[in-house]
Amino acid sequence: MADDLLKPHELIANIKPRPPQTGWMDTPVKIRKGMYCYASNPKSVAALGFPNAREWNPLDEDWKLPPNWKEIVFEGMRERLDRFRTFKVFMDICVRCGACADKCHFFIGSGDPKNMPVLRAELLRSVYRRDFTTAGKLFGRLAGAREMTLDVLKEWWYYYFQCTECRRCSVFCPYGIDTAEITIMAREIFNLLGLNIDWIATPVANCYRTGNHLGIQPHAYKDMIDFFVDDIEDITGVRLNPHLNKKGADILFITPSGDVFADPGTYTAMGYLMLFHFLQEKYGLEVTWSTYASEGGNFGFFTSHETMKRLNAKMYAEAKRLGVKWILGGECGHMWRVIHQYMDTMNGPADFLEEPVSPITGTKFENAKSTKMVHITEFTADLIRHGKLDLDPSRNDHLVLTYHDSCNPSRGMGLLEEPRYVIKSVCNHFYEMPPNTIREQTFCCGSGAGLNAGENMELRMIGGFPRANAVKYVHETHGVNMLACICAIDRAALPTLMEYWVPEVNVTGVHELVANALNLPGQQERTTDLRGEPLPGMEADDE
Amino acid sequence: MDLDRRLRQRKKELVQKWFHAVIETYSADASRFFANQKDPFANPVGRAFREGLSGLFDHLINSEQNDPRQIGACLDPMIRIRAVQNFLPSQAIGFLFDFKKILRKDLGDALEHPDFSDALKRLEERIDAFGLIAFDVFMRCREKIYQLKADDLRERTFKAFERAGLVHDIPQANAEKDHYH
Repeated sequence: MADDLLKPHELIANIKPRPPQTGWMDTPVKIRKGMYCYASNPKSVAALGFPNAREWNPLDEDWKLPPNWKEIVFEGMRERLDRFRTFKVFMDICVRCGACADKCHFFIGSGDPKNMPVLRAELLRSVYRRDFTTAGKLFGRLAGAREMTLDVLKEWWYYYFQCTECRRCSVFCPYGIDTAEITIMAREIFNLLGLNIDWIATPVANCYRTGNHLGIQPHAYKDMIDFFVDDIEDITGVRLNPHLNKKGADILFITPSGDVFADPGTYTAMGYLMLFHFLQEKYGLEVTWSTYASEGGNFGFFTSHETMKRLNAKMYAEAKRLGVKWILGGECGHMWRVIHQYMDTMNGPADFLEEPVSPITGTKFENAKSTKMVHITEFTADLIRHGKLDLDPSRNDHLVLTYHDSCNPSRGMGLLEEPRYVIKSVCNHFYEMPPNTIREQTFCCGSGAGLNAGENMELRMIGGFPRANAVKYVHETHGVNMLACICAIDRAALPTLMEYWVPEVNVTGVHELVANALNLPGQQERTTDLRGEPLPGMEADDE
Repeated sequence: MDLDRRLRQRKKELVQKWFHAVIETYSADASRFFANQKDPFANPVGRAFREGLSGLFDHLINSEQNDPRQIGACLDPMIRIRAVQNFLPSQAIGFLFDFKKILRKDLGDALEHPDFSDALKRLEERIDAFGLIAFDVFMRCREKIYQLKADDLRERTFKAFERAGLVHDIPQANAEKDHYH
């Protein structure tokens, strides 16, 4: 790239790019700027009690590893092969059929063969064969085995931080191999050596200490909520009185801190506030926010199972402390994979909470029977289905929507219809992207699993290209100007992605759309949407 | 027969060869995929080059087409991809000049014909001019990437804090005073 400029004579020798003609085992990794995230801050590593906290730079030859690092990797793998049957099975059963090869957004965008899920897994599998299988020990390379070296470790690190754990490849695997789990194991092993990236390590340390990724303290959290209340009053004329840390409230609401602190998630947060106000005024439902469980996201999931467990536990500890009936969860991505697939055996059962029932409609949320945590789009879809909300969808008429299925809610918990039902109920103009880019086959934003940093922008743009390409198509064919999603990482990552590939399209959360349409009791005539943009027909009044 | 007519007749073959020259700059696994997967949403890179090179070919042989904006718009989807892939700047736009070789090889003996050689010279000058436009497009993409990197934190987080009044600027007078003393 531009910062790797060659001298003229080198340039002439290289003028015709020729990809390496060597086999993948003989093609050493070249760590390229723009494709990796900065190394973890030693303070954050130490705060969580992880080993080998020190300053290091991925571009340096010396990664300052402990002298016995190979032994640590071997033991780390051995322990995980014993502990996780999935890992053992996924190491053994791949027949290299190639069904996954062209399904990864990073491969589709970059063309780098080591981004093919089968080959990315093979990076680890080759070492597994050498160290843990008889065939690999006896026949070495003939059996697809190779020795663990520093170059191999660097290759692992580079490529396992080029996987967003989105699990699109696993949809196509005839054996159901979940490549995300292989990435998860690789990242656990990195943490045994102090090789995390800072965009994961520091949010985890902040979340562990302060309750959210940015390390925002309770008073600042409250300031932000107060600010939203002022803004909502300007727009609707209604003064909200949201509950914070209220003991004995009916429901505890937990959402990613990105909704409270980062645009455009802030408008989604305003949407939640307006919905809860409506439900309290109309039906007497008390929903409280918490300044302690102030993070739905769980970057522990990208670090280790133990870290994920520690961060997840605080949500339930807070629910217990406040004595609520059950938990309502906001529009978040991986929070839902953690809740849906890990929480129950990790910190559950949450038997001090009630089985979630909507007090307004009487609907039992059977799928949340054990975790006691309901997704807000299910909750809202149920309210709309029973005619419990007073909606004027025409206030979203300036928007032509499409919907990006966020990877974790769609593939991780099967949440496909509810967000669409909500959007179609509150908006009049909605168009789907092509079928092989949505629902179970949705393309990742390219920035998930802790890769939403600034320094790896090239990686994010190339990984998000298949998603952007589908958005561009509906923009060109239907005039779509707004991309809805139900994930805070999406709301942070997609605006940047759109700015590079389809600058005409903005990004919104679903509950921003709900709140635009929702009539609050006693409201003034609404002239703008939550972003302060004039509503259709109100443009003249705005001038 | 003039060169224009011949090129129009051979468009399909020439664009196909050009397409293959471009995808050969990727690894064998990737070029196989970019060439064979025809679904435009499963293979957006392949689609961008298939459509892009065909459009670019039309602009090249249309001597009336001298609008850098339109030519740039045609180049943009292809250069935008290569500006974030693993290429040096020269490699990212070099595919444009591959067309010269493809063209000469395709014309073969006909090159000797004086009508053809003059027309070919003009066409090659056009390819060079398109190359300069491609350089502009490439830089626009790279500058956008740097801008996105710089904006990332400010736009997403700082602005929200600022709106909430949580950011307190140093008053102008004091800031100047601090600066000079």
